[in-house]
Amino acid sequence: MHHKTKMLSAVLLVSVMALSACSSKDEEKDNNASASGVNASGQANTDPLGKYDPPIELHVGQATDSTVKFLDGESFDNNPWHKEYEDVLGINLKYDWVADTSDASQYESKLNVTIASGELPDVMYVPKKQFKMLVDGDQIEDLTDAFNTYASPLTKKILMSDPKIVDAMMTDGKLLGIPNVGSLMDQADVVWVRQDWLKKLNLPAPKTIDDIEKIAEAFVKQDPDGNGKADTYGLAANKDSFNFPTAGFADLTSFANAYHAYPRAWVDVNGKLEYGSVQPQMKQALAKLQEMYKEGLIDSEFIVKDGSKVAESVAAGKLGLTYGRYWNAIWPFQDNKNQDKNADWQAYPIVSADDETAKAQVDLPLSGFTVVRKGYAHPEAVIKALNLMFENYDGDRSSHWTPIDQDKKYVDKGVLLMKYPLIYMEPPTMNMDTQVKLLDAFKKNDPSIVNDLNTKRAYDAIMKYRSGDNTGWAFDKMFGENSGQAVYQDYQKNDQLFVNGFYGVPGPVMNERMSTLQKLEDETFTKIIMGSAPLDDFDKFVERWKSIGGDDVTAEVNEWYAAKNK
Amino acid sequence: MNKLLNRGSVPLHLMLIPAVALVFIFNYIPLFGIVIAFEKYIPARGVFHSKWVGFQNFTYLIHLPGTFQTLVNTLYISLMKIIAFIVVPVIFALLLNEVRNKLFKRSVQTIVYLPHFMSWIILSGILIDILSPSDGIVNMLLKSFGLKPIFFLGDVHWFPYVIVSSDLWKEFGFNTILYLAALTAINPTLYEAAKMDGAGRWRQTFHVTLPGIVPVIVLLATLSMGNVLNAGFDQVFNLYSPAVYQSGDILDTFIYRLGMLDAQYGVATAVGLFKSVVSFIFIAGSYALARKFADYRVF
Repeated sequence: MHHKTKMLSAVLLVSVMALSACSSKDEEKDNNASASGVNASGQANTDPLGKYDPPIELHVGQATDSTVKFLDGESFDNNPWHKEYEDVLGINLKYDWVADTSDASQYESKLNVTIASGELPDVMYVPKKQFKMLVDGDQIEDLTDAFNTYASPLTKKILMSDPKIVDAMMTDGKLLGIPNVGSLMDQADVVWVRQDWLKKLNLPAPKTIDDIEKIAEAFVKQDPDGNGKADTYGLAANKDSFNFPTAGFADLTSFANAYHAYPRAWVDVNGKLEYGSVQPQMKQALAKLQEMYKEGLIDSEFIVKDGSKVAESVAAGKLGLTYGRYWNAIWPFQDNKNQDKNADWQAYPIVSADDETAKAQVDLPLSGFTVVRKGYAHPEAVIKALNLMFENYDGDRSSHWTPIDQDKKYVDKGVLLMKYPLIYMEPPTMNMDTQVKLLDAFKKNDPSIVNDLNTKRAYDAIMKYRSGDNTGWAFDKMFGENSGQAVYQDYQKNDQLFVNGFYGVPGPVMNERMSTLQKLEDETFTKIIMGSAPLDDFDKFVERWKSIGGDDVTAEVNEWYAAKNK
Repeated sequence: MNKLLNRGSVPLHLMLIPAVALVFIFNYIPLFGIVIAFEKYIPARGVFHSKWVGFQNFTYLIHLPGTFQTLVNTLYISLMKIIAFIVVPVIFALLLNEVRNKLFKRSVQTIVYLPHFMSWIILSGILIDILSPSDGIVNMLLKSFGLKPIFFLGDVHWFPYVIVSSDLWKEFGFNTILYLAALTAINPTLYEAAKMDGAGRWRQTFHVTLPGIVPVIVLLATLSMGNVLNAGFDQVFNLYSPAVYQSGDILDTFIYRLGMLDAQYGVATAVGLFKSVVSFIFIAGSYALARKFADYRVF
């Protein structure tokens, strides 16, 4: 018996040691946190750009995407913006992790794991759904006071320009995160066509959905690249066919808009919000897509290709027709232009299937929030960082920042410094203003009209392109005469936008049910397009959608809608 | 008691302590997380302060459309895998065992083993290209025989078989090596005796070789029964798409979407617990059978 007790105690001893090793690590961390909290107190300076002395540390979970590039030797930890925060504000950014947002579901699962682990960075960007989780868990700081005290007039002006957005950014009257406010217009899709192919095959510009079909057919069957092989695609599509609102390239959402169907958006039908994907218009759109797929006008393998795989076909000069945003010019069309100098893309407004003008569907430009971890000692640091960003790009400090941002070494390599700040936002009308200014400057041949950073960047690039350097081509296609932004001007003029009727934070029923419903939707729509399910399965889908939770979600959304319209 | 604690075995038992501690810390303490399956779990509130909901997560699952289908898919794919992983490696090992040329034998052994070292994320890219209906090598072959190309990864009927056969291709080399090792352990005198009795190659195979490796077959079969609800997450996750959800969505991808994307941790844990319980029943059941019919024992 004696031996047995000894052995047992040995086992216990080992496990206790292991456990205590874990817990002592936690304690250490807590001590650090409280120590830095003590340092912070005693700051009473309310200057929007007040500097921390001694400098503070801010741990960031950084979102990145495929367009973020660095010069050799530079990184998120070492670049002009990192230095600017340190020099001006005394904020030393430390990057806990960097995660790619190109694949939205991967970024969200990264966030979900982070939130579940409880190891939050001081600051991170979260989409609405994770925002709700953090609010429910009481894991983030209330920024209302910090915002009121520290936000500069410019910051307030830009963020609070639209009452709908102000409404959407407050949670029970409190500001719990810095909303990521964007431009409504910049989210609209246009029709992009390889203009050189169009000319070569003598095709008309797309005006109706039949034109789109005709162009797709010609691009597939008439060998637009002239290599004698049937290796070109028609209309671009990728495995997430209707990926509203996150897509932006090779998406079919605005194809459905031709039939006045608004997949994945909420539509006001007789004063009540209804889900767009289950409306009868959607069936018409799917019917056409099924027909086009059958005729080979959509890549028969689209369901195994993601956006970047489709982009490879563009770069290789095998694809010439897609729906996408104005920035498609810089990615992926510029890659196409780099390899084939004759490649020429042109943007057209989306087309309609009937006499009624088609409206491009957009989401209210509030995709998520930059939040501060509960218990972080300097929540106002985020507001200051935001102030500095706006001042540098759109305010008084732009004369200081422009030469740094427009340094030849960055511009030549196509590196965009605006991708580095802790929070980056553009005034909602910035790109459209730029387009107007640019055309004006070119018409009057007067460079002095170009007086802000965004316009100057585009102006310089376009001048470069005109002097024969193709690397500036994309800017001509984003802001020039037949560009994406030029189409947006048309949208503006003709009132061609449809704004998603629901812009609140998703409620519990929606959070719980929507992904199951969306799975059913994805499955049904993909099968119908591929012809492996008959078109009439759409009706069965609608019934099923309603019965397995769609009706509950609709009821929840309408509660929000009713409260909003009171 | 005295026998157990005789002098010689005490140090040996002490040496077990680190391993026991590891298993305890990493396998037993986390078992505590099972309670999440009975809670409306919110990470910020933690295990102790989340709302206790009893079996609500399970009833929610039963009513969730698609749960049954994923269960059927999982069983279908994993049972095919379990059978294939017994039959194919055994036959292959037997065949390879008959090869006289050592160099050929060794190189085949190595080559079939190679895919085992590649991850599914890489292999999925290769498979998508190989199986492409327009320019993949498999469909080129089919077309050259005048057959219609098949969209293997986009077709509900083909998808499970693609999953099973590609996994088989990747992993069967590993099991083959286990069987080959077992084959070398058979006493050569048995073959000599069989020859003396006038047994040909076939007779030797059926009466000496196969009985000789039955214990290993039973062992591997028993162990694989525990995987009856594991149809291979990383493989399916990298190959499936909405077009094949109907036959390709398995419990693990289902848990992934519930837990990682929807953050419904309670429900995801409930599925996980369900999986563990079923696996436990299967492994215990097959062990009992193995014990009864093949006299195979762990203890």
